[in-house]
Amino acid sequence: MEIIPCRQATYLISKREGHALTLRERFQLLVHLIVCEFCRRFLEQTKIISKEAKRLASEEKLTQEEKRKIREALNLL
Amino acid sequence: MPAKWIENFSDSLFSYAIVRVSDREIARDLVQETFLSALQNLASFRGDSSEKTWLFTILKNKIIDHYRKSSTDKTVSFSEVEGVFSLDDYFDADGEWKESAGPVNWSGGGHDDFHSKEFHEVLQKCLSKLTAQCRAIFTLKYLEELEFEEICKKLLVSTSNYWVIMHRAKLTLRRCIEKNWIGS
Repeated sequence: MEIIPCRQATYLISKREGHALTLRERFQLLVHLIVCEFCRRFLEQTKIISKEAKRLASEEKLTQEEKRKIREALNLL
Repeated sequence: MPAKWIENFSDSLFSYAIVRVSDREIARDLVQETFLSALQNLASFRGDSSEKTWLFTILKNKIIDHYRKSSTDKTVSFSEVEGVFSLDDYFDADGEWKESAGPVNWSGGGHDDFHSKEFHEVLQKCLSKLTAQCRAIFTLKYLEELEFEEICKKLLVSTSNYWVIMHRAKLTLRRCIEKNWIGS
């Protein structure tokens, strides 16, 4: 079986999370990851990114002026 | 009690929205629309959840509506996707990583504190630079933790397009983070 290129391997990495790979694709990806350090890093790093994305929080707040505008809009009802 | 909503919930609704839409004005409008719809549908609030939970449910639906509108706007997504993103920036003619685009090692060199505020700031900044469609799909999957079938349904995207867009989102996001995190 031929080794798939990195372009396809990175595509399959996303697809794998949706449990949407065929048996053949799963095997192709597995073999690719054994031989390709770049794609192993891609896999690790995108895992970190999606894990940390869940924890994103903002400390930004509405200003008093913005709250006043919202209050006005609600009063129009 | 509607009279207390703004005081009690507007800041938490707002910070929830701004992480997901990356735009202050849009986030503020979404909070306002949430309160408006809540007032108009006050009769349907049965009190089997808290007011806060109920308001957040409304806000989440407003965010999805916003995603659907912004990611099906053809003029925007065409120029954004075609203009900014190309697989050729990442892979050569054989489909292998280009020398300049291959992922570098992130561990070591003091760059492995991914829980840090600094990393989260980089991530937030890079998320805001994604195209509307990429941001919508990435956010619904990883922040809202919806299943991909549900995301496709909500955004009116085909399954095969979903994977193409997610592939783009991850390539773009990962590279932006590497540039701003390791490169700094």
